[in-house]
Amino acid sequence: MKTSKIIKKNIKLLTRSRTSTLVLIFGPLLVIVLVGMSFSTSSFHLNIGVFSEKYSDLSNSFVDKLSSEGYSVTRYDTEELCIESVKEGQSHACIVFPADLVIENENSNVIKFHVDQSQINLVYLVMSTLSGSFGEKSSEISKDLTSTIVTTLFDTKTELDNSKNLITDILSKNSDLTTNSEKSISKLEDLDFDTGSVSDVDSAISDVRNKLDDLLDDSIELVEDGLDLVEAMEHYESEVNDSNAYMNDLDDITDNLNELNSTIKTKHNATARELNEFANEIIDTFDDLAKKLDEAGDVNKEVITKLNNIRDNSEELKQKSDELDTKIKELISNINSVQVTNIENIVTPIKTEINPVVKSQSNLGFLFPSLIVMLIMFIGLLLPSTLIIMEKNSKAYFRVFTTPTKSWLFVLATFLTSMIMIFFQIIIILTVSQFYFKINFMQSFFILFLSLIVIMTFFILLGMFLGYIFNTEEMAMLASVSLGTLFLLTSGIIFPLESMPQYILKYAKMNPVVLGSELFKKSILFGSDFNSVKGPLGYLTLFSIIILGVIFLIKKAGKLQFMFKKPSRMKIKKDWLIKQFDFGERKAKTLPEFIVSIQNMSDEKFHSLLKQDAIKDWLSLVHKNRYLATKIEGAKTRGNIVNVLVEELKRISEEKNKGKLKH
Amino acid sequence: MKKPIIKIDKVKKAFNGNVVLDGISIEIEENEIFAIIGGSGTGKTTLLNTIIGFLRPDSGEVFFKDDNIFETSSTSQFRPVLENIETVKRKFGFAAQSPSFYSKLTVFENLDYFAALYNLTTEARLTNINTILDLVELDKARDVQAKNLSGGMQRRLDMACALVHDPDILILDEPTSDLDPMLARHIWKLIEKINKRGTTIIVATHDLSEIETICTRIAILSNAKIEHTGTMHELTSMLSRGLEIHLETYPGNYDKILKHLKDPLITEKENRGNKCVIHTAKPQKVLLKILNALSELDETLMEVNITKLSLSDVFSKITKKRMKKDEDKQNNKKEH
Repeated sequence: MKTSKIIKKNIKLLTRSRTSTLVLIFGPLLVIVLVGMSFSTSSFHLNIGVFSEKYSDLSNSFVDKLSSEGYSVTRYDTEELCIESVKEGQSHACIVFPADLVIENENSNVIKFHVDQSQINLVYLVMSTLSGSFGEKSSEISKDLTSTIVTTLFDTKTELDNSKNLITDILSKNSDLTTNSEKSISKLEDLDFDTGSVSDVDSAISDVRNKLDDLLDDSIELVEDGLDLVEAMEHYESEVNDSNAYMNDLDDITDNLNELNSTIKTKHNATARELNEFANEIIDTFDDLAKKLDEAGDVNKEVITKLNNIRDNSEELKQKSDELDTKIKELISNINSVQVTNIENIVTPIKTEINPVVKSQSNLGFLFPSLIVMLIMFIGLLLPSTLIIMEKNSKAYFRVFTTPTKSWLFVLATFLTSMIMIFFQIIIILTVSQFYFKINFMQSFFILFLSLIVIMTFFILLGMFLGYIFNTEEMAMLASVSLGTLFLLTSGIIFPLESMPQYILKYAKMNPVVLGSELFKKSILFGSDFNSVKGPLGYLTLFSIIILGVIFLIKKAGKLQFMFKKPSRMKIKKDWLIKQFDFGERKAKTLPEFIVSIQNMSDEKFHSLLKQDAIKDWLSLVHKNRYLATKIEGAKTRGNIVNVLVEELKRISEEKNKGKLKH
Repeated sequence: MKKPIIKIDKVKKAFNGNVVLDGISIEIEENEIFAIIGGSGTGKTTLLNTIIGFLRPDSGEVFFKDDNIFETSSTSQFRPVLENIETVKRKFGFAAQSPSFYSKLTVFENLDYFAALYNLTTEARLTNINTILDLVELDKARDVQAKNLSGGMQRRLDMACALVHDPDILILDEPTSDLDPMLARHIWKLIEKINKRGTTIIVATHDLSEIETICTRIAILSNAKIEHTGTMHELTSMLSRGLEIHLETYPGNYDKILKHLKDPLITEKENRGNKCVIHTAKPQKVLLKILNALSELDETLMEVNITKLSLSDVFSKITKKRMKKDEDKQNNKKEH
């Protein structure tokens, strides 16, 4: 029971404080809706700057690939401009292609990525996305290169496969050739060229020759003996006187001759026999030879046939070998046509090199500009709003109001108080960071100082605005935190801005936290000059002026509402007129009621109202019938006025009856 | 002859159709303590805020006398408040119903801050602060944080803050609300003291106990209108035209007694429950008749007092009259 009562009371209190309820309920909802809308996409919108001294087909293909993948690609004329675009935040990365990028053995093919590492939540995404894209392309190239090699390999294989038949043929032919040769050799080897009988013939001939020589010698000897005998016989002519002796001698000679003859005959017979034997032998030998020659002739024919075959086969073999040679040459040529054979270039045809556009820092160093803005934002929103609410809720608020102090002076004083407090904090943080985290703030001190002033001014004024529109510290704090959270979530510090839809992104880039971070980044990390920060500075200054104007309007309106509220004269008169004409316990609303009211009012009141033109004004302002108001203008008595009004009532009634009156 | 310092001319103010001030016209004179009395929600604070220019009247105007204008004609010295807010803020001091200062600042710091808002030089600030602290008897508490002061001291600090720029006119809205009678009396004494320094004081209050002795003139605000304005004497004479006989009898059948008393000398009679009050300009003659009546009605006289009309009596009389008028009006309407 008590609990329900307390709950009821709480709900009543909440609902009766409309602003609180609206902020409590709709504040977080609004944050969720806006953040939800902001990050409803799943893609990133990245701007990529590219540069190459000379674009090749390959580098163009990279650029085309980036474009086709939805990146917004801008070609810069110089590498410096490209890198500057990253610093300026126009590009998320600058890609520098080597001049005439071609995949060759000798080329190293290094593509340089210039990225802003201060965009901690984005840089790795950009790098990985681009590396992915380039890796893909690189893989494609690697694939192409490998494919070329593999194709060549396969072509070679196919050619080799094709040549296999040729080789088989060659081998077969070769084998045939060998077989034939072997056969021929065997045949030839089988040929009997034994000339043993011929040697016998030779020896026999030699013997015969010897014997013939012997026979010749014997014959010569015989001849000589005969000649000697002749000679001796001639000599014997002188000695013939001794016929016995002669006769003896002659007998001797005859014996000798007979012996010689016999010897010769013997020898001749022996020689003839030997010659006959020899001839027989020769005939046998020659028969044998003839047989062998016949056989050799057959073999020869066979061998010739085979040799012809061999020759044919050899020619074919030569042809096939030539063919094989051509094919091998072709294959070699094909293999030689593979340009990239450097294994490293085949595996990684494109190498990427990441170059940060800012000096290497710790993550804190990169995050520092955003941290400073966040700090300024939250203190800037909370401190002045709290100060103003404290002042508004202070017992002294009214007294301050009674003093001759211009309202702008309070605005200025609150602003300066907050400025001093935040400035003090910032100085401490910057000093600590300078010495402890080694973050150098001095490289663009003037820009840093200017940025600090502008950013602080904006957030302080915004905090003051919240302070002026809310009446309790809690509500101002809730509104500040909600607004701060919204700014933070749409600032790119947590989620990259690039994940937002385009139509929100262009507004998100106007987010004061984004502008502030950009200003600090440029002054702290990049050491930029005034020209590169004038954009965000201008926007923040413009926003500050607008908020300041709104603050003065609110103050003016609040003052008017609180102190100098003056209802419009028309409203005052209308309210007054309504009150003058009573109809029973309430006020007259319709014309008949008005007539009754006039009839019933005292003479004094009637004349007073008539004098003030109240009757005419009631008709004109309350009844909204100017025609009737002008119609009673001349009437001076109650009767006349009532008559005119009654006449009008009758007319309306008649017209209603005729259906002429639309309403 | 006293000279007016503020002229309120037919001021009308309504909030959301609810008329709070209906044609108020008053003149407040130099160096007087002018009291505006009325019930809660009768428009006293609205009137004060209109006087000082914090509220713009729907119609009518408030003028103040600006001594800095060197004009021969006295009327031209009066300037409309709304058109001269800065001057008005310098000439007027204002202490609202609830104390208005920084509770975490000391008494001195508060006074110094507000003095600075009035653009006083350091020297002038110190002089004024010391004088005011002495006047409001807070010099010993000058370094005490305002939140640690007692209710009466806080009220005095609030008045000190309103006086720190030495204004010609001090406007006090319910200066004794939430204070016990002792402290209230102290505040009234302080108001008197401030007035004696030459400051015109306009005070709105419903604490009627002290003002009839302190205030120079009193305006009774009722039903959005000033019912009567005048000195205490003027008010009482106007309303009672004489004295009041307060009668206490036994058994105290006052209705019967009052019904019995029919005399032209009796201007008004009323039954207040434990006593009856008879108004007359000739109390001696009436008293005789009362005594006769009491003996006739067997009433024993327990106590009789003849007094002048007090401010609270005047106020309640006027309030009653107004209520009666309103009731009659309502009845008339109903009849219609």
